[in-house]
Amino acid sequence: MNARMKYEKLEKVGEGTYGTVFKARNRESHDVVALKRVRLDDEDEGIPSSALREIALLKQLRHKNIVQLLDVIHTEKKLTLVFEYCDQDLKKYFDSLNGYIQPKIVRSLFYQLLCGLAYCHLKNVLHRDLKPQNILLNKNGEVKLADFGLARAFGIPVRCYSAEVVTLWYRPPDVLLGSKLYNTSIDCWSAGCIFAEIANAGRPLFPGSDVEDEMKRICKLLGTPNEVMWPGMTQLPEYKPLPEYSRGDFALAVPMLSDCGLDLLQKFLICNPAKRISAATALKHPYFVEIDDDLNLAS
Amino acid sequence: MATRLNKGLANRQGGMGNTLKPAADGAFKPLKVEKASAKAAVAASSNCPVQAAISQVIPASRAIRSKRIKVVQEIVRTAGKEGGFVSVRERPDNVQDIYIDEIGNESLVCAYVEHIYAYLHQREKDVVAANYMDKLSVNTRMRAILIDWMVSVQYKFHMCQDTLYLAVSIVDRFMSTPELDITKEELQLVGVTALFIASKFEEVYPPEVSDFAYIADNACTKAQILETELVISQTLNFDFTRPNSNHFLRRCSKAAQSDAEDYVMAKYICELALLDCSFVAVYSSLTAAAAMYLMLNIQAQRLADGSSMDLSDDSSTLWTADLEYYSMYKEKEVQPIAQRLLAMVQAAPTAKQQCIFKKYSSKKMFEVSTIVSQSVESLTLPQL
Repeated sequence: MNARMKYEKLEKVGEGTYGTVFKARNRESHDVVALKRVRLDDEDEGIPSSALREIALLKQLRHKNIVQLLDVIHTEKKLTLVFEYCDQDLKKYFDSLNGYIQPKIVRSLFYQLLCGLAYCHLKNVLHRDLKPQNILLNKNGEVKLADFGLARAFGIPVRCYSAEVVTLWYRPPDVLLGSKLYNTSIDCWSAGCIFAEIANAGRPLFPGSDVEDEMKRICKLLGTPNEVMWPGMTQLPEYKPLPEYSRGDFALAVPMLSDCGLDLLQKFLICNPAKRISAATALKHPYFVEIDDDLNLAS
Repeated sequence: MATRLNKGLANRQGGMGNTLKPAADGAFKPLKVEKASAKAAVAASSNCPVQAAISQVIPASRAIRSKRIKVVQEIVRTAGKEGGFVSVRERPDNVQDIYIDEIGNESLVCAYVEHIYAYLHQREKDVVAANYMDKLSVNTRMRAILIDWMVSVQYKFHMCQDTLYLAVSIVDRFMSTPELDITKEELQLVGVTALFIASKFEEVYPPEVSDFAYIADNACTKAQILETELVISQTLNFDFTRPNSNHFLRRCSKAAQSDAEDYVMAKYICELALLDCSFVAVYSSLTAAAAMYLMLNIQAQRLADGSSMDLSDDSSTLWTADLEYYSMYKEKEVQPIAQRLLAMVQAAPTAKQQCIFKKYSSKKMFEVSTIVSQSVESLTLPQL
């Protein structure tokens, strides 16, 4: 059965890494789903590797904080990926906030994000493109990690992978400096940036214009890293001497976050990847003592 | 700023005490440990104002806290749902923590290493029957020719080992699909397409489809490869995440504190096993452990040959407590598999399939295949 017979298209909702995303309804069950279309041209390389990885990895991941791949439909010239539907992504949610967000919502969103991330990491999957646009929210306030187009499985020890990963604003300093040997810590930096962005009701923490500017913004807040704090830093492929900054004030950068929240944030935003907190460890941080599961985003 | 930081620190150290501190190795510990240290934390919290303030939160939130611990355990549990409960074993006292000095070594992913291996062990259990080819038009000899050729392609294109192992797993799982009979003519198409798919999954810069068509000497066209890619992907339900013996070999090699030559030698033995269809039913972790065991015996033999001392009684110590623990196998479990591998390495120099032997005879590979062939003629494994 082809996709058109099974699903009724409702509207276009956006463009993914490799294709258009539609909101659609299952003609039989009336369930609302998201369809991601992947075109297969004869002249091309067949199934795009991003789609191949996304499908293969998502089939192994089943968790309430990870978007569920319900089906893959293959027709003559295209693959259609069928996902559970989510009403909005974190970016759109930020736009609706008007600059204010309740602390308990910050906590819940970040908590759920970390639950999904820890689960990926335990199943040896790196996401490598965490950003608000790839984090979905359904109407029950449930967070779903999505868009695994850049994700990959890793072995131990990890091999060298591509340095061309993660959207600039969420890219960790080690990858900015050209490191190809990274692990789960790559996602934890992005998670930290997103934590700050949620707490600031949608203001990005390091909105750099290019790699150099991105690195400068990081140094301004964290203080310029050195060989003592981060052994091996100067040996990274793209390392150039960095402008000297002393550590800035986190409380000014993320003014609405509690002390406890700031403590956790600073454990994520550490230049040396070996010192960065893991998602699983972060879930045990005191900041999450008062987690409220039944969160209604509308209220 | 400093005050804020200190306060944050005090909150953490006093308020929550050891209950919330990650275990030294960063891994999850069983709930019991957390409970025991909770008492100590509450006792310690009584004489500091910051702690007192925070501790007011603690009693009320105890239920929540235990719920939170449960959530973490739930994640661990669901991470291994398909095959039951993934639990991390207690390490016995006589076994070393091989990751203890590696906390700063990013490539080992210490925080998750035990859980990831538990998960990989679970994922490897789904194997193909050793005799699956009995019902097919193609036989195990043709399969060996195909795999040998795939090794040469992997080597020529400078692709990684994981790509080769994944491709071989794709070939076997695809060919063993019920009601599917691959003909001799289609065999190479299946092999080259498996490499094409595996390279997309594993390589940073996968070769193009035209490269694969070219390397197959135009026995299959681009269009055929692309078409077969879809057939294989759908037949295997896009299941391209399988642990291979290399994943487990790295851990064994760490447990044995092997040097580079030892490791490459064990890798060579593992790779030879790809040629033999009877190994498709052996768990990757067991093949890896057996290759490790055979390598250790070969190296012990070489050492004995070079010395005047009689070391023949000493072989019982080769399979250490560390190796048994980290490989998950006892010596009596690896010995029979190692025996089969020994027969393969003995036959390797004169076998019809020479790609693996040649690949490992280079200087870069420490000429391990040549060394092994010189050392195994009269080698006997310990009889248990």
